[in-house]
Amino acid sequence: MKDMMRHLHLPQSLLLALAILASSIAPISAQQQAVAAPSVAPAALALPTPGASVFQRTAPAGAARLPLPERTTPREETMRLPIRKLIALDSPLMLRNASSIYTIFVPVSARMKFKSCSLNLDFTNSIALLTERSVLRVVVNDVIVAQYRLDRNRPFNSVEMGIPLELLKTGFNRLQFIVAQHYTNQCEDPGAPELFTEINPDTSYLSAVAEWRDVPQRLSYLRWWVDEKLWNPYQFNVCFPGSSQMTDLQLAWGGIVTQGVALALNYQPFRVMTANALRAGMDNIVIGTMTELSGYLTATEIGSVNGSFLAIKALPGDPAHCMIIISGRDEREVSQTALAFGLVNYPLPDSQYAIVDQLTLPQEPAYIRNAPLQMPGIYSFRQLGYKQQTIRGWNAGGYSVPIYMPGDISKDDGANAELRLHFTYGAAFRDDSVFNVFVNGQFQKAIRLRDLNGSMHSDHRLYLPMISFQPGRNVVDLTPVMVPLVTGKCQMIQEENLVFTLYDDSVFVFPRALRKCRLPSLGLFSQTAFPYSGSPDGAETALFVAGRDMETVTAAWTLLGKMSQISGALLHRLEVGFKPPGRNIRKNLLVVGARDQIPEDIVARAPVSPLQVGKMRYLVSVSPKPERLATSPIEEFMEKIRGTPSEKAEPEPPKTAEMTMAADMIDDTVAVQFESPTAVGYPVTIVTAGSAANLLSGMNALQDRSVWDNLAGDLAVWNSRPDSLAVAKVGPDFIYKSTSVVTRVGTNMQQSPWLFAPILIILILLIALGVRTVLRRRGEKLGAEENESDA
Amino acid sequence: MKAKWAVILSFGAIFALVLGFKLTAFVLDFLNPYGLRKADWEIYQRNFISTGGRVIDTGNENVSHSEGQGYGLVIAVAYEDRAAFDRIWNWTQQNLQVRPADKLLAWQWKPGASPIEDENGTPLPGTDHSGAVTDTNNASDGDILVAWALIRASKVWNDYKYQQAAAQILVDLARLDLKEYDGKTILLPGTDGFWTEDGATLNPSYYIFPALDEIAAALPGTPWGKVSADGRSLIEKGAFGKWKLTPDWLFATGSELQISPKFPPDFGYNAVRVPLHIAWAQKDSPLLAPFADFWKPLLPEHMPATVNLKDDSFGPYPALPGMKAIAAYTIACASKASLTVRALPAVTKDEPYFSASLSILTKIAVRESFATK
Repeated sequence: MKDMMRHLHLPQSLLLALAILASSIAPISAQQQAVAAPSVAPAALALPTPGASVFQRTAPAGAARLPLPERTTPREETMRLPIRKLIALDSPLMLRNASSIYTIFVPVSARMKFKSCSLNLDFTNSIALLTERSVLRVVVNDVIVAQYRLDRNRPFNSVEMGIPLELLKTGFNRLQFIVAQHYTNQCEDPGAPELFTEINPDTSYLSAVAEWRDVPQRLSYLRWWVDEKLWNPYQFNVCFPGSSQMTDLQLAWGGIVTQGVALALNYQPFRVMTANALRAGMDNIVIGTMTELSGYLTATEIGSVNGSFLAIKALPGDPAHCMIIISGRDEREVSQTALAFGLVNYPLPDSQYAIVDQLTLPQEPAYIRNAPLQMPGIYSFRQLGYKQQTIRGWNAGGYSVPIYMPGDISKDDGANAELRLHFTYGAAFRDDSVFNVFVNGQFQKAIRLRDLNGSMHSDHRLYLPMISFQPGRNVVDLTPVMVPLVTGKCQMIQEENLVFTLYDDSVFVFPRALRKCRLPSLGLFSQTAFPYSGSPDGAETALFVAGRDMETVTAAWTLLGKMSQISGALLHRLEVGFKPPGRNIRKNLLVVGARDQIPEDIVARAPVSPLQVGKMRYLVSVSPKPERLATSPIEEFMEKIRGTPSEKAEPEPPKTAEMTMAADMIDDTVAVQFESPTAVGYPVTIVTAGSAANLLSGMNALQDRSVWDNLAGDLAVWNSRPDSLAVAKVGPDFIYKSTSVVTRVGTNMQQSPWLFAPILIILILLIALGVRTVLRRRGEKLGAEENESDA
Repeated sequence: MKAKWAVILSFGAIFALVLGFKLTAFVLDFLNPYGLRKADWEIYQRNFISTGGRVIDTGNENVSHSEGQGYGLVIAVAYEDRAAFDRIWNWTQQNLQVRPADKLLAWQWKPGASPIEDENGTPLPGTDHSGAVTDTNNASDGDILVAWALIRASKVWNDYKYQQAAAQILVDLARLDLKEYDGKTILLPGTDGFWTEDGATLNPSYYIFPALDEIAAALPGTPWGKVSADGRSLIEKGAFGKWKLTPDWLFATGSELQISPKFPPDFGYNAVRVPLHIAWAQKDSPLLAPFADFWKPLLPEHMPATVNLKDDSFGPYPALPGMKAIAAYTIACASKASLTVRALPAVTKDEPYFSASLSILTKIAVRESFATK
């Protein structure tokens, strides 16, 4: 086009140029003289100088040009923290026996300066209590803040008490509910069932008015400034200044910093946003090259950017929130800074800025918080985080040892883990004293503590079946039940002899576990993020984000953050992008996007189509399905012939064959997992919703323990309403990373045992036929030889 | 007879030589119509750039200023002459980037002057001891030109240090010289002396639109894109006189724009750069029309250097060749015509600094506007 214009207008431009040429040749000297003469100096020389002396320069007020957020946050905030959030999901807060203590830990963030704090308590006490001697004490950090008489005539109580601020310290504060409960003045059974008080953890809550403190502009504060102890979900904005459309690289940067924040918050929920400008009222993580962030830096700071650059500054107009600068001279350096920020154990200096030196990640995944055990292996309790302690008294609790199992340990495993215990116990125990062993709350084994003189066991071996362990976090509880030798009504009960020490050199011996993982399993995904966390750095995982809008992107980051919280590791080698990965990619695929954004070929093998809004049906409730149908010995025999139902990776939710209703799914978020249509043996997990906004809302709801912890099957549907989660198992199983024909045939056989019987019969018949033919020929041959010899 | 033939042959040879040169030039121009003339740059360097890298304004007592250093840098990067670029930038950095509290450039340096001292008697730094900074106020056009050249240099030579230096200047320029006024972001000509309670004194030619647009693209999230847009609006509204031309200096008071009472009410040596900047950024801009309409009947012989926008009278001096080049470029753009670099006259060895600068800058603009990439 430009060429065409040039040709069309050439004569005109030539004429013009010739005219200029002509004018510039002849009078040039005259012009020179004329120009030298005028008093009006050209261009910049005409600048007026106001006569201010050099070092008295006055900058015009209010000239700062940093793009400020539109509003600033009110510094004061009223907060409420239900007691339920501080205790285990679904567990009651029950105080039993004559004396009982329940301890919870109240988080107080260094970011907040409390101005008032109170506790609203709803509790119900037994109507059998002796009012004069039954008391509930509320203790904060060992100081009694309130006492309530447990009145048998007023069993339902709702009280509010102030908590003196001087008792609350930054960190986790011990809040104890201690009861003394009696039903009689004489010869009381201290464990009588009528001795109880229950605190309702859902309606009881802490409330506080607190003021945001100013951000200390030191990077060393960053680790606790992104604080799990905030009462409300930590909110932050990932800002890419001036960026009109997010790139794959920015998507990856955002994913890494979101994971870094999520890891710093431990298991606490968070809310991530993204924009091309700062957002008020929250921390902002500003990412980009130095030139892209120049509007957020001073000239001195720009000058100091000579590598991967990390800085913390107060948010303009809002000193209570910070602006974390992740920058560098080029994209490679920005990536390195983002990675350093994401690694929660990366050492940060006590300064406002830092240049991140060459960052080399360890080959071994040493930076994983919840590293799974390597099997086979022998682990001392000390290695597993147990601290040696002595337990004293009656009903004094037990020991807990957390164990992180690999995500792909098999339920088919018949092996045992060996427990070699080193413990000692006191003398004069009653002979029904025992030492109980539980795995994940399920009783496994007991050791009788029968030696009246006390005893030390140095290598007491117990065997725990591997099927008792689940992928991910397991808790082994070891509880000594110590009963005094002399008990009975109106007897003095001696408790001082009830002592038990479990030594930290006790060991677990884990066998070579069968590593076969049956998928799909959203339950496994929620417990361990497996198989997406199978490689702790995410190298075997690809994330396809189906939309570039803010909601879809932040929904994807939220899922990544949650996964890193579960796996305890930064998935920094994750392949992430806005384009679907290649068809031949052999990776675990995660897909996040609104339904209309996800390509049809990705859902080709999905057991249900999450793309059909309003058409997908799912189970709300059904009666349990019997595991076995056999009722007579003959039927049992026949069932043995058919084969036992294939073992499942997790308790299987009911099949959709029994589905009872179709739901209007406009507001719902759906997660479905199935075998990749292109990469055999690898899973695809799609998280989708009717719109990007609903997807983000659903992803935030997913962080709630009531949703995340209850994911199961291969299909989950939920929304932001409480208790909305429905799960189902609708598709076929496959063995993770299993591509061999033999394995796949075996898996199919296991899934469809009816197929196995006719094939086996045909095989037997064929073999029998073959043997018969061989024998017949042999017989004929022998007969012929005999005939010959006879002849 | 022989003498007669000798004279004829001599004339013939000279004619052939001239014709040959002209023909060669014509062929070269035809083959590479958008190539910058190497000779222009050689003359410019020889006449106006010292060996140390100081760009000398030969028309004004051989002073140097940030604007001149900026022009030198923009031209050097256009010619991809890194040695010259580094020489000019080093001199600028060492002798003009000496303000104690920021990274802006002192606007004027005079040969033979003594260094200014602070209240402790410490002289301003500088490596060129043949003169010194005589006023540490900055000129925002000089700062923008230098930063623009540095951004271009960082792209051409892929060197981060230029980008970093540009960002440092621009951050302080945004902090000190941008101001919100009547809903617009305005660019003060310098940090000191242009902003009073009555209003702001502005120089429309300091809005170097191609620079502002490139800076906005290179530094996303910064206000330079808005400065550029608001600058165009300023030029649209700040038109005066019979031909609706932009004055050299404007005064913004309240929501009104006036010709600045502190300066001659001219469209002249300053504002002549306004159409150059507009066309360079957007060759089909409607803002070019008044300038083209004014110049069209006057070019080439009758084009004055200045026009009084109050009484529409022409100044006594003819336009410089560089100003005429701008006029030709403006007319070509406004009339949707085309223009080649080679169609514009070469810089002559007697041309003063300002004219030569405008001439080469116009050629760079023509190349960027019309050459097919």
